[in-house]
Amino acid sequence: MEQHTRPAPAPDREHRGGPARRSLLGTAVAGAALAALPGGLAACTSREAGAQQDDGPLTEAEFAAIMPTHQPLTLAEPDIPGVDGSTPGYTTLPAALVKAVDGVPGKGGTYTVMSPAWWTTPPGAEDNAYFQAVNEALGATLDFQIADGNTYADKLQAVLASPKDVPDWVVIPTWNIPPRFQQGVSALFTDLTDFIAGDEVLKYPNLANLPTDAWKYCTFNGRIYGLPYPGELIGNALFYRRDIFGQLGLAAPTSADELLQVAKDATDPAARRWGCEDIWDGAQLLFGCTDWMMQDGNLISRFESPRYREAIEFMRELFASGAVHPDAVAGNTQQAKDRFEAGQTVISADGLGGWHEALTRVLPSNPSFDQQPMDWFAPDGGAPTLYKGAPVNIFSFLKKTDDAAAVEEMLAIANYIASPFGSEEFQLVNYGVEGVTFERDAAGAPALNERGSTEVTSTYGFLVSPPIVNAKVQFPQYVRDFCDWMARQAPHVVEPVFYGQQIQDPSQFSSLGKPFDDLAKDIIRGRSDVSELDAAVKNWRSSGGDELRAYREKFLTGDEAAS
Amino acid sequence: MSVTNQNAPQDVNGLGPVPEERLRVRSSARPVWDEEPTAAGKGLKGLALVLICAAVVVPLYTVLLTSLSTQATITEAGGLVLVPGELTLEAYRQVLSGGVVTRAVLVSVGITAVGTAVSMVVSVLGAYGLSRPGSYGHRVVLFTLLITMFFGAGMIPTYLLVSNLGLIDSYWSLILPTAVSAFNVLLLRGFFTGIDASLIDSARIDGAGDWRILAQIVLPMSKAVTAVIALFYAVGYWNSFFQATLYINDATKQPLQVVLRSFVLQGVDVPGAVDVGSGQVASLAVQMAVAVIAIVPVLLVYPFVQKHFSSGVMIGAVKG
Amino acid sequence: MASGTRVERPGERAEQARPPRARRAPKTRTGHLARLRRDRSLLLMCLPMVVLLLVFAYVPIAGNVIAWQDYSPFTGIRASPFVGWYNFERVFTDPAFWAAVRNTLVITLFQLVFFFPIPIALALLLNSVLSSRVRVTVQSIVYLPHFFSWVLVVSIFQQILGGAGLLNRLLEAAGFSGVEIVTNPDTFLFLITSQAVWKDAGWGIIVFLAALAAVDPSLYEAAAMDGANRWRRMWHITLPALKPVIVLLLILRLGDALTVGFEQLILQRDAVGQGVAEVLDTFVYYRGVRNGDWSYAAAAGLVKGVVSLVLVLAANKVAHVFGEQGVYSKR
Repeated sequence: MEQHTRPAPAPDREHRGGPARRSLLGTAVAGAALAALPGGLAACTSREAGAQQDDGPLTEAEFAAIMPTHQPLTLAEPDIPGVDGSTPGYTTLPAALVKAVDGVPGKGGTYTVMSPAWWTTPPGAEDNAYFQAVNEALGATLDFQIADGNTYADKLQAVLASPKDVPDWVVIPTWNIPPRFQQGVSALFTDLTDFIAGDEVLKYPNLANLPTDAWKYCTFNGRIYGLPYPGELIGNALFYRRDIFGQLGLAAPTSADELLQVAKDATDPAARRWGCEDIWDGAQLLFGCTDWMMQDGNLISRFESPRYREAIEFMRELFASGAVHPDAVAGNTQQAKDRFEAGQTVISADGLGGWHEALTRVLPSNPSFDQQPMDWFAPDGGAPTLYKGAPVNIFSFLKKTDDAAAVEEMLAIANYIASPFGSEEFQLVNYGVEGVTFERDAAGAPALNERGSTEVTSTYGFLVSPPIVNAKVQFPQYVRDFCDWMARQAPHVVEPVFYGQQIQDPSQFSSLGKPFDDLAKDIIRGRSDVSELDAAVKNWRSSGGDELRAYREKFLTGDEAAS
Repeated sequence: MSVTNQNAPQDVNGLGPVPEERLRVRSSARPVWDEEPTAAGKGLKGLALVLICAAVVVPLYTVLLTSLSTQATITEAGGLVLVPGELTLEAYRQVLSGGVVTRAVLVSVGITAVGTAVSMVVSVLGAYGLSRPGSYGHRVVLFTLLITMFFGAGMIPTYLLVSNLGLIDSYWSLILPTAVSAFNVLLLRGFFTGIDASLIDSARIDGAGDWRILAQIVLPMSKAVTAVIALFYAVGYWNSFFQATLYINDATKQPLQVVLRSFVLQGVDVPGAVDVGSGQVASLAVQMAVAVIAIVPVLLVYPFVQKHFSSGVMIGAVKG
Repeated sequence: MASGTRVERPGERAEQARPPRARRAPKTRTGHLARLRRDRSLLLMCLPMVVLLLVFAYVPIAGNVIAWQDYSPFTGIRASPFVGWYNFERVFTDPAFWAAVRNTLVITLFQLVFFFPIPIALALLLNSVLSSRVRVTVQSIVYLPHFFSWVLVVSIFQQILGGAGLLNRLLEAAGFSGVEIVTNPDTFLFLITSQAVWKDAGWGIIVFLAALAAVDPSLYEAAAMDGANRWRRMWHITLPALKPVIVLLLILRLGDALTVGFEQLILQRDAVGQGVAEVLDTFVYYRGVRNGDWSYAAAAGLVKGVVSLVLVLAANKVAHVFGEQGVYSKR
């Protein structure tokens, strides 16, 4: 199928000035072979690929051999320090920005970059002062192919099936990793291990600043392929409208029963106000569900766990009480934020990233808007069990190349982009150029101007990012709320069974969970009975669930089995 | 023929002008042979039309009104706005500023114009080629066409084809793969076969070949359906979105639907704690403005199609 | 212009007095050649279409061979192993597949009865309006919802009929209890059909208006002179004029029997549950496409294509029995 027309050799990038280690012929032949060979064949013969995924996790020793040295780097002391891994916060800009990178990282190369976008298409590079300024500072041209975030998974699968179309640098969010990616990663992308393992990474101090967990998560087939956009300790929260709670004389709940009660108490259809959105995702966290858990020394899936059943029963009661907004009952999630921000609902489950966006959106027209995350609690009101979030949210990969100079140039660029808060580089990547794309507010904090708001995007940041900090200095109160909340939750965080392991389940098991999504919704909305879960679990086990468990058990490490 | 074609655009019934004095006693357009309907019949018909229009207009109105409302009004309404509050053009300003949309409009207009032209030439020729009963090989071709309605290709094979033809980042990637719609060709063919065969036969006796018959008899008699099919194709090109996200990488070549979608996308959840960190954030007003902007070009084009719907003009002209 | 298309066509159209459809070409070898010669301009006209179809439809359709493979995009078609009918077995042995087929057919049948005739009725209604200003105005309003996305249509319906919507607020203000419409699986068919009617009925009339434009008005006059009243004229002139188009669209709709509003149903799946909202396309999406199980999706797609093709050919036969031409003429 792939070769209706003879595939052209992979387009050779324009000469980058740096010393070319391989002969031109070698590069061209490798490129042609790559384009002609379907990925998997190449993967089979790939010598770099180390331990196969199916063999189970790498041992600590194996990891130690490939992990980059971790050398933390703090350019500005955070106003709110991190506690037990919680996100540090900055409420003010440091007096003076420092330079985190010496010289110009790039050597004049031009690289195509494919990246998803969840924002308005920015103007192309020739009309885009932000792109121009960053590219100039990089000393290289990153030529972005910005794709619609919603259909990015589709685009990725198509492009990765056609090796000659793979751009030089590809952003892949963790939730868009295509099925069977392990088969393709070694053939399509560059193995970065030899460039950054051990002390090699010290050439790139901002990359050395990235946590080891993130690098472990970037490891596929026993080698490091990805560059990380690190994740946060906790990614989700149950939010409530503190302003409306105050008006109604309600307090944030501290147990499942109280949550049910406040949702009911806040509900007043005559005033067009309901207690909550569909908080099913939040309820699963509240009841301590995660994909795989240990129970009495056995590995059980989310669906088999009694916690999952309890969460469903809780939600069923919540829905039956009438406290859920009717449109949320009707599955309208796309307007959930509108309803919550309008005060039609007062409790909602959301990712933490949505908090700041809501403030930007609503505060101008409603200064009293006050959205806060609830402190997590166990269903019975005791201390919660929170699962540590994945160490990486987004990966980027370099297209497979033998051109070591090009890889080094791109890593140097990554090192620039990964400059932490407090550096000139961070400011450039996040805000562009003062007077062109951003201005300073009364407190001296940078704020995008009109031009900046169409041009400045997270596009560079998605390639690689420094360890997560909250540096929304324009909203100091929000930063304090955020970091204090996170610090209060941090002591309750535990690692889930397969924490930080890069595991892809065999594709024949990939749709096993779908019937549970449907069934849970049916039970919650009163269309099915809770007892139907038993039959579904039985069916799950016989139609592949037990096999999947056996597959997963290979990845258990000793201490997990013991816990 | 061509002379009579153009006459009497107002003369809906092809009967020539109605005598002046008749206009005062009867409805202006009612032909002499038509009986006056009962009052109840008229009333019912009127009521039906009003209800149908209201069912469409009221939602349209809320969409338009929401696009013109301030965030405060929308928050107050908690969704689409029914009662006008403070009005603003801010949403439109936000969408249209920066020039990205303007450029995308040009791209989309170009793709739609060229694509529709290509599709129409290919489809009209194909439909006529298949419309002569008993012609050689038409069953095979027809079957070839029909199959494509039911057997689709997956996304990946199609992508690989487009890529191997070197069409990535080419506007042709948005035109050629969808240039022939079996449904449209079959519809056209259906109309072509319905044309009175004696007209075609007599032309053939006069020595006309198929090209001339198509150009001088079939097409002039099929203006309405040709206009409709052209509209179908044009709407298809105008609305196509997914193909562009796959085949077009260059931001400056993105068609309008992709750019408009990016405004609506802003409200989309990105999992976990990823802060997409964009300066602007989508409001319902912007989303509705996008819906309105997407319709405007259709509003501009539709009258040109609609004018072909006045019944009878063509046939009457040809026969006359 | 074709030069050789003069008079000497064997079995040609006009010379004979009998109606052209009854023409029959001699079935001999020389007949083939002669017919090929005679119809070469027709075949030439089909050529661009056929080329486009072969390249842009058939080449990628050949990719459906992955239905017999354990296909991985990273391995490619050439290297992916063949697995016989395994993927088809997975499709056919899954009770959820059959449930989805059943739901799909129920929706199709319901919409054939309650959606399909509406654009025809609307077109007839509009056609009977004398004032061209009213006609043009109505026409240019009713088609507009076609251009709204399903997301917007569904949320408009929710705002009006939903539990927090306009209707329920009015009912409650008047002291009645609210009605559950958008989350009621029992009335789901009515809900999605009325959404489809609202969105697409106005757009659907366009084809029929085009067919009505081809009616010779002198026929009406002659009928009126013969004493036929309004209804008889509609029955004997207007409807026969629409019949070929109606039959054609009906057959093509049957061919689409296994396709019902994918986006519309996905959006409302949670509201009513997959028990009624899971249709074939959503099923394949969740089982195959979303998980990158391309082989499964291809197998299901082929099954669907075969069924559709059989339906169309059967419907076409039925049309022939009733003396209609249908999609595909007899010869």
